[in-house]
Amino acid sequence: MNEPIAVDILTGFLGSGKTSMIRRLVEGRALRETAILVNEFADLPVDGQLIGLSGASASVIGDRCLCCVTDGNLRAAIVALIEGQADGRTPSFRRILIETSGIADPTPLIATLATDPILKARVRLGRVVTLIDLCHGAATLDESAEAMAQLIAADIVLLTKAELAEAGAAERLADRIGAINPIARTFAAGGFDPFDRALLPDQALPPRAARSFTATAATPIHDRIAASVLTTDAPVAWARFAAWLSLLLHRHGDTILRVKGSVGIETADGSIGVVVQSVRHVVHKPEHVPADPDAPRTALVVIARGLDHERLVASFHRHVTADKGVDIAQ
Amino acid sequence: MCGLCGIFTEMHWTAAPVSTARPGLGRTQLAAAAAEIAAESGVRIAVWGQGFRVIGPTGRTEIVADLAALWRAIDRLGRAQPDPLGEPRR
Repeated sequence: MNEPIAVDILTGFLGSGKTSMIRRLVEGRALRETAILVNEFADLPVDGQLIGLSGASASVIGDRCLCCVTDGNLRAAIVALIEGQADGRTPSFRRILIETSGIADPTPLIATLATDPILKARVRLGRVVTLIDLCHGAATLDESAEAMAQLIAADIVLLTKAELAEAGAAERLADRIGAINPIARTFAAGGFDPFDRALLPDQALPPRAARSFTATAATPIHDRIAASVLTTDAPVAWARFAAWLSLLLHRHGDTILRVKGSVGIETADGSIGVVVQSVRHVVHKPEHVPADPDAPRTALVVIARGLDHERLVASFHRHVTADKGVDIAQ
Repeated sequence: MCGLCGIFTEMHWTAAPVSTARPGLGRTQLAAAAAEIAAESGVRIAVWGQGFRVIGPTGRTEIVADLAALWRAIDRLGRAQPDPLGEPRR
């Protein structure tokens, strides 16, 4: 069976600069061997035409917002790309890049990639890059649940339109972004490709998030969205961790917005590390992670709305790390 | 040795990193861990084929495929719905 194709997602609110970024990447030949799917909300797919003129292979998914059409349209578009490549109708590509519409909550899209029985055998979620513009980003986060969802889903945040922003805006917004989503790495948008793994390797957590031991309240405006970091150095029993996290998401999946991090698992030979991540109820297939001698063996960021940090930490240690004399190690 | 590299497209995420050499042991460990965290529900959990068998306090039984289905069954069969954020039992 072929290796699943990585699907990267570029999201960001209306006017944050998504299409400009894709055009720049295409013109800089950064998106070679990349199939681009554009979700265009407007009747006229102007963005798609612009991307097409830049010389990339682009498709437009439906005429509705992607958060509303993560069904047959998305599946059909991805399957058509893969099958087109297999029989030579589509130029060869190694990854897929989806640009969401500005008003899309990317969560259903991510869930579809992970759970659709047709897709999950053929693709895997790559990285989510979210653009936030420095002029309107703070206000948009206040006013738009979709913009907040785009931020929470992000693995990388790029701050755009610095040339139009007032002094200090980038620092203030970066602080706020870090408090809401410490999983994401935040950069000023520049001439680089945020999907380039050689430039920005995948990692379970940014070092700052992995080493933080306290929850940080983000803002009271959004019903107390805050991040907690759960850490432990001793390897944990996978069965105990899996039972705890799956029950936690079963019972509190509506308030736990995202979980990501590395887990050190006991094995007969020592320990191995895996990356675990979820968006709402959906947990992606765990993946191996190279050992990082400088990081705790387990470091898990939990972004939640209205969840008691102390209670979460106590629960993690009571159910996952406590030695209860029960042998459920691997 | 873990099972992450195996290709089981329908595998539930909780079953992924268990021993490929002894997958039955992995399920036994999941059943034990699930029973422990769900103790307040009064259910018993046993491995059943590729999945689990849940027996409620009244004897009602369900067969489920994975942990996601297991928690739903426990909510139906148990005398309490287990909450990992709840206060520990005295």
